[in-house]
Amino acid sequence: MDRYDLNGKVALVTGAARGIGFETARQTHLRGASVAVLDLSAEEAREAAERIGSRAIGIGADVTDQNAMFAAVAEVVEKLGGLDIAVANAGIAQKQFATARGLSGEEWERVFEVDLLGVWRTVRAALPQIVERKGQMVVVSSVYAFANGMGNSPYAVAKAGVEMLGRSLRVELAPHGASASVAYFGWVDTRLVRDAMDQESSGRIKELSPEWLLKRITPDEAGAGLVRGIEERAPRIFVPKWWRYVSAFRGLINPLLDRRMESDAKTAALIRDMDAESVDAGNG
Amino acid sequence: MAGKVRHVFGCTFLGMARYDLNGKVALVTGAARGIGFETARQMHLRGASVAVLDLDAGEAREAAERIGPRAFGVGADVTDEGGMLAAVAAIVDRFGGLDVAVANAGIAPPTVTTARTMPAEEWKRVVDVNLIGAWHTARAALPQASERGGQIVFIGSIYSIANGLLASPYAVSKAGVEALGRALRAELAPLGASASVVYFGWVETDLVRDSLDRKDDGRGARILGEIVPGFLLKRITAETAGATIVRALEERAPRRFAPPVWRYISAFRGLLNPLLDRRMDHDAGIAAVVSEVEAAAGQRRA
Repeated sequence: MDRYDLNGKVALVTGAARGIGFETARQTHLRGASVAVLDLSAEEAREAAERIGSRAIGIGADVTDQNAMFAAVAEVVEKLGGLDIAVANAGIAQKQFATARGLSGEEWERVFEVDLLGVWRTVRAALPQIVERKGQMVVVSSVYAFANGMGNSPYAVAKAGVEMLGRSLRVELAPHGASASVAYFGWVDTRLVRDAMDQESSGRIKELSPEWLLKRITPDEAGAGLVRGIEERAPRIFVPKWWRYVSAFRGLINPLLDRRMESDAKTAALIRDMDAESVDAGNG
Repeated sequence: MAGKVRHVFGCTFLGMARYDLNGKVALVTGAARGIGFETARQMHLRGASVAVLDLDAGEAREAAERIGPRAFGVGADVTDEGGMLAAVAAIVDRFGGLDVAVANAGIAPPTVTTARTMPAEEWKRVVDVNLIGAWHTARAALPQASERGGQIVFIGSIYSIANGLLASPYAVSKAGVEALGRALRAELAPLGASASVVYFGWVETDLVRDSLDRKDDGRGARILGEIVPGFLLKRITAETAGATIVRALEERAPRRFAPPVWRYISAFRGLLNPLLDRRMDHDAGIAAVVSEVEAAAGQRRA
């Protein structure tokens, strides 16, 4: 496929006031696109848009609110003349690592609501434009789409769903000349990851994983990988790239890793502690 | 084949002792018919007390009567967390506890079409029932099941693995259910409890017959015939599906596949899916099918 030229295109990025979303918007803008920076807080979105440059606008909207997302896309079309690329990036994590049993039901469903249904509502709002302009829908999944979600289940459940949504969409959009991509990031040095990793139980999760697995990449690298993926209309975008190989062998590796996790004494101790912390927090 | 003969398919997991269903209490959601009914019936045959849960209390009670004396019908909506908590409380009240929950209740999208043209409320409803419903079932059963070294069974699907085109909410929910089951299994291990994911291909149930054979003069079946090789479309009976779940429980298996060929497809999914997905992107037959269903969806809306 020919290189997809971002120059002159219009892109919408959700969760773009900071982190991966901001970097994606900034780098898309650098390549000549107009960008809509969408975030929960209109003010933060506008501030981010100002930092990005002249062809950036800020929009405040909650991705879990379908009507707000339709209104946001309408605003993009009105102000920037259309919409070619939507990057469904907005996501949250639970406040700290906790088992599904220990987490409050509301918190579990809130993560799911933002991370999966928020992506779905972004997709629904953006697709009419994207199909009309043979554009691209990028959904941000995670290596948690295939890694075991122990201690982080709503995130893993949502990201597995997001991956499937992106794969299905790609086939369904092909006849229209439009496309969808799934982006998988490992640990990126964002506020989401820092907040989660600063918890005590997270420190222990780190102990359970080899260091190379936990090496964080910068939002800058994540955004660059994403933009490259858009230029190539890549079906899958992995940053760091070596996750591609883990994904390729997931069907063989996962049963082995899952089994090891089940019989590992350190993991068991960590799970007991996470549950104890949840009881302290009043969720157990 | 249920009941008398004890097959030892595959290996016993990690040398764990066989989980004896005799005397246990089990909850099966969506159990008024199909896979759920068969699972409840076969567990009952092995000596378990079973709670037959379904949306309609009358149908649940009827099914429980057909199953036998240690079966109890409960009406509840899996999408209603309060309703599920109340259902589990009623089961504990009746049978003195709960060891096993089979989160089986599931629906298919009423319309076979693209994510773009499916009515939004239909898309969301499928995810609510299949994924959030499984979550509520697990959540309601966990206090009892984890205390008693019990088990939660999740119903995955070949759609947890294969591309979900024209059935995206179903595939999205089944991919999520798989992730939930795997995470829970790891989290329950220190408590001596476990979770399993059982993956089915096409099972002869109302869900499959309605969405493939009956609706729109069998358009679903015809479309699948164009997308999927024939040997993967062979349907198994609900009885076989139920037996697979019972076997998974007895072995505390992390995963079970019926038909078994899907075990190999799952093992190589990371390599196969990118190739198959790409082929689908470029397939003229699929493009024609997508156009056809989108045109039909447009007419329905008009």
